[in-house]
Amino acid sequence: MRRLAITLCVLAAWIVVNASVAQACVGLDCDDPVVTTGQGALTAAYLEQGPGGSGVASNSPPPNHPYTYRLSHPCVVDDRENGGCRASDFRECPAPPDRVVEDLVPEQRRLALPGPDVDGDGNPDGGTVTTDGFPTDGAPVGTPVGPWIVGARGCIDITALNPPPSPAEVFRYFQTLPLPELVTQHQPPGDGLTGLPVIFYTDSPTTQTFTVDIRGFQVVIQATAEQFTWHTGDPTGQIVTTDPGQPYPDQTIEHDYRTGTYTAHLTVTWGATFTVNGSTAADVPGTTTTDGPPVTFDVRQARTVLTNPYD
Amino acid sequence: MRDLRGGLVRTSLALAVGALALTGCSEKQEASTTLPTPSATETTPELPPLGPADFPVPQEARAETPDGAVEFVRYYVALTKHLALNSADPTPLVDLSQDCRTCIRIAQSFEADLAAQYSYRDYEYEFDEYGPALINGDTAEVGFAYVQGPITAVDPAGQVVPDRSAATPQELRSGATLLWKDDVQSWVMTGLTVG
Repeated sequence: MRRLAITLCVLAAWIVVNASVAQACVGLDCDDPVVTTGQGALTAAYLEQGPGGSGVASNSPPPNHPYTYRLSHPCVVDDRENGGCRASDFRECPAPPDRVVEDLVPEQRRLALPGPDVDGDGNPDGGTVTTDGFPTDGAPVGTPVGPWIVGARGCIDITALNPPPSPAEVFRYFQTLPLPELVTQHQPPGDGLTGLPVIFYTDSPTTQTFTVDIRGFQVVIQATAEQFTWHTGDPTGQIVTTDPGQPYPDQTIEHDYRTGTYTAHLTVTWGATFTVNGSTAADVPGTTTTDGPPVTFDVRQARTVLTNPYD
Repeated sequence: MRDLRGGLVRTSLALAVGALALTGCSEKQEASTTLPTPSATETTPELPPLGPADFPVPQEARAETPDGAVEFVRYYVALTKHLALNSADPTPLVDLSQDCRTCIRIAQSFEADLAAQYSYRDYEYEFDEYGPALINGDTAEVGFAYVQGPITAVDPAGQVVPDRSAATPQELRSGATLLWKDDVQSWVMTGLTVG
């Protein structure tokens, strides 16, 4: 479920949401989209299509390749056409670590190609043509002609296009970063006493900055501890806070124990923002957690003893 | 008089057929010692019907050939007219497609018409393919000129609904991508770009 939520967040960041009403068609003529494609679209000069909609995109087409391509995320296309994304728009593609493979909708557009060599002198002299006879209206060779034609959605390898790291890709890196494991501090130091709440806090750093290289792009990830889960070690389970706590007398996190020996530790949920080559910061679409080292302490029963102050 | 003459003709035909049958029975026939060859029993396989019962996909559109692909697109476009004029459930437009967003949008628009009780008084179009389809494996691309209009949608009171109508014919340069489906022995629409 968390995975789905993360993915939804990832892809929500890809789209430009300006429309909310599905566009109607009169006959076969459907309204033009009212939203721009946004970051989700890539252009490619060549798309080598494989089975099941899979493909490999590049900017190295064979000579006189008849199409140019646009690759959009299904969510972008859906948003463009229907005013919103659907759950089915979100799908992950398996990819080796060194490849970028995204679930994309390819669209292709005809290119004007050299016309036939009528007089046989080796030079085309028949104007320009398209691969299926669609009229070019005299457009020069290489000019895109006619409408975009939507193809079958599939997992397309876009590594050769070297797109800037997507939020999803940054998130994958984020999950591998050596985030700090925050140490649980407790008061009173040493053993606790029943009836005297144990104070928890951490004084470990709660932010950390990482600079990573992702396919040649400099990505700065600023990680921040967003949630603290204090595992108390007794049957009450855990205390969840959004602050790291403070030592006495400014404590914010306390817990009452019965007599016994307890082992507590702190799980921290980390969120992050990132920039690519100095761009505006964007949220990393997901969180990751670290577990701090356990601390063990006794909680003892204090017994009242009458003493003679004059002794 | 005409009825009587028809009865005589039918009676004569029945007698002639009966005589032929009796002649066949009376002649001695040697028993065959070989099984009939497959070619002797081969017939053109009848494809299971596809599409609406009153407007099925024609046989010529169910061939995995360049012409078959063009015929399928021609049929699909005609199907939209058929459904519109008969105020019929547009589900076949989706059933005869796969991941075709425009097809879904067209069907959704027709559904909205049905919900609003709009009907179509006119639905004219012309379809001219640019040539045979380009076949690549089990996919095909068809380019065509589509002239749409006039289309007139009216509400239950008979008033024209301008938003759902196209008064003037308009040429829309169009393209379709198709996928051949072995299980139904037909093309399905995977992409449709009109205009």
